[in-house]
Amino acid sequence: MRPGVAGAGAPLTMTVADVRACRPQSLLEVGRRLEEHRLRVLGLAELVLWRRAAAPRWSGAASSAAADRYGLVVAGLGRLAGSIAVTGHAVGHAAARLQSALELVGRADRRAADEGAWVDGEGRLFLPVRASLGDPAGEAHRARLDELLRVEVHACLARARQAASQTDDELWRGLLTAARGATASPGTAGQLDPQLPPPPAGPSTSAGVGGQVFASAAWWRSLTDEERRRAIRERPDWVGPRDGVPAAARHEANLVLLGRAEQAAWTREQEAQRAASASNAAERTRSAEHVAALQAVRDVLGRRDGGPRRLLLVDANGPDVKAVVAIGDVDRAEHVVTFVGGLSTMVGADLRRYDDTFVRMRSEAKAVARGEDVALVTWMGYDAPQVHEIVTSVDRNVLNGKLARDNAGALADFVTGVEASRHRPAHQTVWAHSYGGTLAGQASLRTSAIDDVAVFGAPGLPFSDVAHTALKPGSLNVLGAVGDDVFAYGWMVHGTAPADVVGASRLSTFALKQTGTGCNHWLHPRSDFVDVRRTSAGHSDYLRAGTDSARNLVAVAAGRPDLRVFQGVDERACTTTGPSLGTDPLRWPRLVP
Amino acid sequence: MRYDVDTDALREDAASVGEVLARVRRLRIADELRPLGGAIPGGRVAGGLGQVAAAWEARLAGTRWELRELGRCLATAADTYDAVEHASRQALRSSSSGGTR
Repeated sequence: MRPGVAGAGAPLTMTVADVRACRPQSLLEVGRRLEEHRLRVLGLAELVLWRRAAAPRWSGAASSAAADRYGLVVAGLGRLAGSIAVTGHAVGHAAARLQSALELVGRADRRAADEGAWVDGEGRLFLPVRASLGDPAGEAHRARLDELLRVEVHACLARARQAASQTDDELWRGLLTAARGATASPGTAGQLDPQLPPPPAGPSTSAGVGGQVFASAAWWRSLTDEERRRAIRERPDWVGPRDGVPAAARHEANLVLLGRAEQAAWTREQEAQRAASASNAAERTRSAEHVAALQAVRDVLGRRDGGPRRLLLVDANGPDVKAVVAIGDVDRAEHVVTFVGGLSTMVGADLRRYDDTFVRMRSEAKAVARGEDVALVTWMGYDAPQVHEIVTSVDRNVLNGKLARDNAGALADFVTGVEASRHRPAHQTVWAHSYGGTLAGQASLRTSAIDDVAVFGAPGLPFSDVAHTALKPGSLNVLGAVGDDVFAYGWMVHGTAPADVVGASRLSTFALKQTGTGCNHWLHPRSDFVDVRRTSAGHSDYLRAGTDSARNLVAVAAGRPDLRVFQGVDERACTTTGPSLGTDPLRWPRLVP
Repeated sequence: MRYDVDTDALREDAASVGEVLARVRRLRIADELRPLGGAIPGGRVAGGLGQVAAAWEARLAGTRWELRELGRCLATAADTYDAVEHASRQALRSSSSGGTR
């Protein structure tokens, strides 16, 4: 199997078997011996110089001519040493890149082994014959995991071949160029610097999951440490927004991009203010919002409470600033939670508030996670629908599922990218509120990288059965609070009511002061018999400290399904209230059906 | 025109350049690169090492030629200066003996 041309243009001269047979250690040994030769040649040049300068033996015109000749010889030896240095450098660089290519093949082997599969010498993936689970939903999920494995393995092997072939090609050209006289002297070193391999073409947030993200992860793995540093420094735009690249690298690159975005936003705001008139009021508002949003990002990154922050995306190119900020170590934590919000969420207005809340919830999750670490990501990677757009826009209207459909790929890519970039898989949860729940529902049709989903206050989901998604059975959790009209009636415009999805677990958001007292207390307000502290009410009360809904979300995030509290009979009766229409469902007496 | 030459030192220089030349002859860059063929099998390096070796051989041959020429020129200069000195001395001696005849 020796066909083809690599996507980036380099001929695919090497097979997987060739890559497996590469021995970077031998290259390092060659490099070491070349360095000995280089030092030897430099020693010879010094010896010639010393002989020339040792004592005055000669004067006259012939002596000057001889001095010129000495100079030529010494310069020639210097160039020789320079060429040996260039050769050694090329060999050392090739060793590092081949090591990365070998590690990519190793990752493909390990990923296959984790799933009971294997990769043969030529790079063919073999899946085991799986025993029937007797459960169509479970088998469908298994098939999707196998497909995800296939995509990742192929991405790793393709990049390994490409990197090895490119390395081989560059090394051959480097060896020949150096042998023909290229040196490492200033002015010529630059032309021999290996080109930074570009990432896979196409935006990483394009719709569809798998290929692009795993190709990006494999690209990053194929780089040497030096190339990674160069990529962050010279091309942060390649790294910062790229799903599949580790969070630590994205953070570094995004800090550079944040600085640039701030500069651009300040300039834009100043220009808008300078040209202030009635006709540019919208521009002034928008530019001020951008400055405020970027300031919010900067503020949150500067916080030191509750764990380190990581900036995984900052994008000020759209109408609103998009940002993704993590608390904790996304690259290593055993549990990674990604939160996506809904209507009216904006970076400038909400990021600080979410960060406050999630510092607390991360701490609570770590407390029940049996000593394991939890990272919590605020994913504001889409332009959420805004209230005014209900009357000003069709496509961006919260009553329209288009925004959720259009951005589901970005969320799915992000979650898949977390998986693809890590050495060990994480238990990944998506928390999704309101319209974010609809978006997360769309994402769960695309990726199997999500282990658990908790949608709260979600208006509707784009499926009626968990078996129709890429989720594993039992992984969809639904929370709906008393008086949350979005949750209760949103299905009218957004597909299936979350509570009606087959296979979903309905978790509690509600508690009575005394269990078993029921809800038929006639005209008493619910606050008389409901435990208000533990009960969420309305559309925006799910994350409040002390509520059962927050506890349930924490249990799901920490991989502790045993700690979940399910909706009981009392709760079902008590939360069936009819439209609240903005009134407090706990305060006013309501007839219980 | 004024000459001031230590021809013995020039010969020492030539010998020293000869020693450097001998050490350059012992440089085996192409040999050192040979393991690359086995370390990166199947690629252009493995197939193209002969070309690289030939380029290195030509390169080192050039360096050797420069050194050889320098050594030869130094030795020739020493010989020539000695010959001139010898010839001058002879001429002066024969001239003075002719005058006394």
